[in-house]
Amino acid sequence: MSHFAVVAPPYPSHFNALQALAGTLLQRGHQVTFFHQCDSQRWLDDARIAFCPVGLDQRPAGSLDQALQLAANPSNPWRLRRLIRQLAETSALLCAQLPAALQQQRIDAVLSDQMEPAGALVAEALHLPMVSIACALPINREEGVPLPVMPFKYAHDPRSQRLYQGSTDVHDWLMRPLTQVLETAAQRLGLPPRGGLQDYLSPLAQISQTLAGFDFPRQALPGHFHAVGPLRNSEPQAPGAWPLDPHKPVVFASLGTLQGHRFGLFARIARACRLLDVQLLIAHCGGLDVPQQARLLQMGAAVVTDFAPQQWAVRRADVVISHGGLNTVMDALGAGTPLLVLPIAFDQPGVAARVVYHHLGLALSRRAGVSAIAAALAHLLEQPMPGLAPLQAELAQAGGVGLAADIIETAVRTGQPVLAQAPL
Amino acid sequence: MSHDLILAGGGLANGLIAWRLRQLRPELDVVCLEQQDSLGGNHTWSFHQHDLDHQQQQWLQPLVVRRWPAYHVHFPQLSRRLQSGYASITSERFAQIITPVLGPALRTGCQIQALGPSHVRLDTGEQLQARIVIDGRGAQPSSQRILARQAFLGQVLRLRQPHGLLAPIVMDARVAQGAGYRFVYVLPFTADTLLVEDTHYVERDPPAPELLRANIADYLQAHGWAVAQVLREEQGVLPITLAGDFPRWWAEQGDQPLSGLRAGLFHCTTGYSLPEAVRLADWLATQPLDDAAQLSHNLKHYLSDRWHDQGFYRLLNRMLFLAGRPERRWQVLQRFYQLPEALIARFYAGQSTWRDRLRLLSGKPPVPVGQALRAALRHSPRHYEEPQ
Repeated sequence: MSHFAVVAPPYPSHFNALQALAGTLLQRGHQVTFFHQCDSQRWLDDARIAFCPVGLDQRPAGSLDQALQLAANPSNPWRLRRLIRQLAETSALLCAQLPAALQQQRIDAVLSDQMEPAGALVAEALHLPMVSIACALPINREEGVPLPVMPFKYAHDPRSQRLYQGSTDVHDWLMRPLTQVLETAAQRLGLPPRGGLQDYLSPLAQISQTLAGFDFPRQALPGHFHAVGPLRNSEPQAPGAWPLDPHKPVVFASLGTLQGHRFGLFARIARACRLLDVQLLIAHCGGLDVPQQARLLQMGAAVVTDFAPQQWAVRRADVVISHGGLNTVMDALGAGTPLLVLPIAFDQPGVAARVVYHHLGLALSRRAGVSAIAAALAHLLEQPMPGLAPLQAELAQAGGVGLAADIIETAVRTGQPVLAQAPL
Repeated sequence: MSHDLILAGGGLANGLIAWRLRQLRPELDVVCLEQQDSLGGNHTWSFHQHDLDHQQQQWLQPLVVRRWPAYHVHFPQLSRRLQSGYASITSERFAQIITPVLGPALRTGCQIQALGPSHVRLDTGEQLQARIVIDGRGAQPSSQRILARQAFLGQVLRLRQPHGLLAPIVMDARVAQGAGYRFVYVLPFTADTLLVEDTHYVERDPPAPELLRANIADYLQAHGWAVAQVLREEQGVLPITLAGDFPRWWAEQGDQPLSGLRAGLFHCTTGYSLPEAVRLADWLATQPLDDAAQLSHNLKHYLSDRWHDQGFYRLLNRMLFLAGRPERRWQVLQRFYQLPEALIARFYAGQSTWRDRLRLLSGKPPVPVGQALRAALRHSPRHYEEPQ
């Protein structure tokens, strides 16, 4: 039995997926400890999972909210630079303090989120086996595929290729503060320096929530890359208890935890649903106050709630409106429900582009007006999306947390790369 | 002397209000001020059977000059008879029935110089006071409402021979298209009289009346109908709402109670105003009508609800009438009239279900989707501002 360390960005979407994976490992008799600044423990609700706070001196209790605010609104270049600086500071902190913390907790292996390279770097320095987990779109680089943070559609023409290359160069230039932090940390840990986030992935096994049928076509993924589908625990969920008219379409809108405060966007969605006379179920994840919730009901929302049982909601809905968080999108696709994606930040533009590419739904700017949202919803409610059925079938047999746990156990047991085609 | 209610303007909306209040609230002292010599001007108002409920049909019945069990539409590739009743009211009958009922409560030949929520000043200097003044003096332009226009000229004609038509032609688009969507509208009042209207959907200036008269003459000739006499001619411009900002528009009205086109009460896509006028008259009869501020407050909510109810039709207008080349817009209407009859009836009644709405919005429009979407996005008055 092993003691796993989980190192991931302190965002609820990453913690949720990794917590589901941790649950499976715990069931199999392993021990799991999450390492991060103390506030991020709030995203863990499975009491069996241990939490080890690090960097209390630099990230005291109460400091996470500011970080989340920045992450929720990185829309202008100034805020984006601040966000990147903050990511770099977090990685620097973890690189400095994780070695002692992991040793003290007698960690045997590390599960490192692709978006937090400190876990990978420290594991390597401590000679611990490490598996990379892509909770967001995989950042594995491949010529001819735009970065996940880019909104571009997939195409082969020379202009698109130049666009992908140019945008990658800009991205890497913007990310230099993080790259420099990682270089310095590598030197201090006695490891050879390397480039950006994408150069800190596991040589043993890389696990991704993103199925091949959802990503853009890829040819260059490593042999030890495993697309296992959504990392979810399979506990049955109680259905929502709201009185919805069974004869009228239902639109479920969720913008995730970080973006749940976007009242203006919810308001446009509510007005669009009223134009079409369809029922709208809004889950704002606690981002809206009571007067705002009341106003949304006035504007035409049928139900406004902080949390809805998501598996039930995406199945009950005829269309899911999302900011393009991979978790919600994968849940909707697992239920075969078409999507309207209004991407805001991070890999959400890339998720939107993939939804459109595979005919799983439509994408609009997050600034889209009531009319555009109504027209898109009308299209989705009336015209079938041909990509949904094949992907739903692929998702049903993807493996999920069980397969991910098998891969992790094999990697730790053998110390050898776990190939996707080989029996575990 | 102070009245309970002054109705400024004696058109369709205020005429119906005065008449309905006389039926339901005879205790009220109501005065209706009309600038012309008679009530109702020179118009024909029509409605579809399903636009009004049974009770509304009943009280309106004395005004109806003709009912038909069906109507026709004609397009280059589609002719269809819709088995849905259609009815018309003429201003002549309107005045004939309502004028005697109102008696001295109707004052014709009154030029209104100014009015407010509880007073009216005539150009003779006479001041009239009332608990409430309702302004129903026709449509008034506002920068907070973007309108397209349905400009028409109609002639009521007695023909030399019977025309043979049994039901109205609500749209005949088998005619040369102009700067906007053009169609001819025909009502067969009797075996040898017809109302023929030449109608143009235009964003700005309507075509000259001479052109419309010539169009009617061409249409009559094409059908072999020879005119014995022109009995009456009417012309007008029906508003088609594309976009607007209700709170700002209402703020411009300064809490003045309004009715009819002035209140924006018409079907945003078709311009039909009679059903809305009937509903408003019924609604007003349920109001206390003893305080202008209270009525203004209630009316704001009434109009706001109507405005929001019509949002779907404004969206359709933008997608249908701002996108694509004007001379091809008949295709949009041709496609519409291929839809199920019940859907079309609900559309005219402003009662489209969610299923109707999805069907109307999501079908492949004959205009490119990108254009239709860009047009849909022009939902606020500021999207229509002229470049300086």
